Amino acid sequence: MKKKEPPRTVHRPPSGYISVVPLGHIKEDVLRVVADSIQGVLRLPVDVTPEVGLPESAFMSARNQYNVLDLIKFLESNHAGPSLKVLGVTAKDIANPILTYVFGTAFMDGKAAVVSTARLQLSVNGELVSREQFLERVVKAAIHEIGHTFNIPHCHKDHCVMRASNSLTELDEKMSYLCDYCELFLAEAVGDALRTRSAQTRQAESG
Amino acid sequence: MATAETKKGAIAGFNFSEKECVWMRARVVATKYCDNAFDCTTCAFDKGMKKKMERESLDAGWNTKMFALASEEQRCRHALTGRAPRNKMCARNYECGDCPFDQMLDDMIQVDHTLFGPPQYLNAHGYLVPRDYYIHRGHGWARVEYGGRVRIGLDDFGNRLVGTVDRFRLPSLGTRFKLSEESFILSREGQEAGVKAPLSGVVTAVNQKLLDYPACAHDDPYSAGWVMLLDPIELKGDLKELYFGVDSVKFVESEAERLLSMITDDPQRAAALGGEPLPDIYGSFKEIGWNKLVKSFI
Repeated sequence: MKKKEPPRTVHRPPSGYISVVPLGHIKEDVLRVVADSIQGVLRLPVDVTPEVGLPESAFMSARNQYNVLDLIKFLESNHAGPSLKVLGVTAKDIANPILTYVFGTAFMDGKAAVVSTARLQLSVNGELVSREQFLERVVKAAIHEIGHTFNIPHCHKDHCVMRASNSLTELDEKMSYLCDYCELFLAEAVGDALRTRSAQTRQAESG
Repeated sequence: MATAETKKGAIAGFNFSEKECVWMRARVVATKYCDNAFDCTTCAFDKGMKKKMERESLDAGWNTKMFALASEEQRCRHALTGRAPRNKMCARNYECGDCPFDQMLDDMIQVDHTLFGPPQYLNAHGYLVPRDYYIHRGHGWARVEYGGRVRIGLDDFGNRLVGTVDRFRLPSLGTRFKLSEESFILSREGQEAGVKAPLSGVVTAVNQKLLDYPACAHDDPYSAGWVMLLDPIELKGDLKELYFGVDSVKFVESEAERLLSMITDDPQRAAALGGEPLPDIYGSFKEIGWNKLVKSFI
């Protein structure tokens, strides 16, 4: 059976609640799985936007890494658009000034988050993991960071995706779902975000 | 099969309040109904219209177009999207920023802000059959969502049939299924049942909550009990193979009667009024046997 592979990337203003922005080149299937998993688990419509180059100003040449805090600010300032939240996905290694590397970062209750696939392809022994395991890791990191943008804190219940994971082992141990408590937080936060957005729209329309 | 309530070739999406193409809603074209699950990114008609508008340098906004309509056609913008009654007229020259009705609706938006708004149900001999969902003969369901993605699960009949499931085995992200191929597996007391894919596609999300809480599917088969999201391969063609609307109800009713015939000798005479099906049919009639039940229905 021939597979028609339409890119999910939208070349018009996104109408979903969350935009996934590729920062540099990311394979289409990775973007599709990230976008669909966010839509599947959080039940919010998601778009993928065209690729955006990483800002040179965020590059820390001494560490050969990008400063994730700068990337988040870059997304907030330049690519937020009408979406409630923006998730940048990059294959480049990212870190913040204190931590030697991060899988992803978000500002709590912020507009944007960034995840990196750079360290998710290898096992703790440095061997390549399966494609399935790699995709699962990216999905968990993506949902976790988007959860933070909705002001959901770290969770300790079962295998909830909002559980903190400082290592690949911890990332592998948790799952890609929100526990019942985090689901409640999310529903409330989405309601608040939509009310805020509609108030801002009204204000803008009334001049 | 998927003929009732849907025009031939059209796709019924979940929580899409109207079927009118966005270009029809803006009155740029007279008649055009969406046949691509409002996935404009893959819509040939949308691409064509955009090219045409660019070629003719047309860039009128929707409100400009509205003023060009006759006064009796100047409906509230929310009437066009189905959030207000169809005959609701605009009384404020489309200055929505000052319109109390507009603001009231915007304040109410949080009521159905997610794709998981509860479905409306039809009743088939006590089994729940959701509107706007497609049903496969193996009791998988399919719901077309934003971006043309399709959410998959096991219907109420199937869940009641297998009862208390111990474990789900979900496919890996990126797995490709053909229509009616075994897609996910549920097991109970060491016995397994493979549920057939309601349509062909690539798995792009799975519900890992089922791994920790398998009862989710039984308790809420059409919402929290979703199993996976598919990026469909042959959406229009595959949906024609599924039951929809009234056809789904008739199918589940016939399945309920077939099940009853396994349990009682004379089901045709048992015209029941009211009642709710047992939550665990296998557990209640173990003498029928797991394999027979699964082979006959799933």
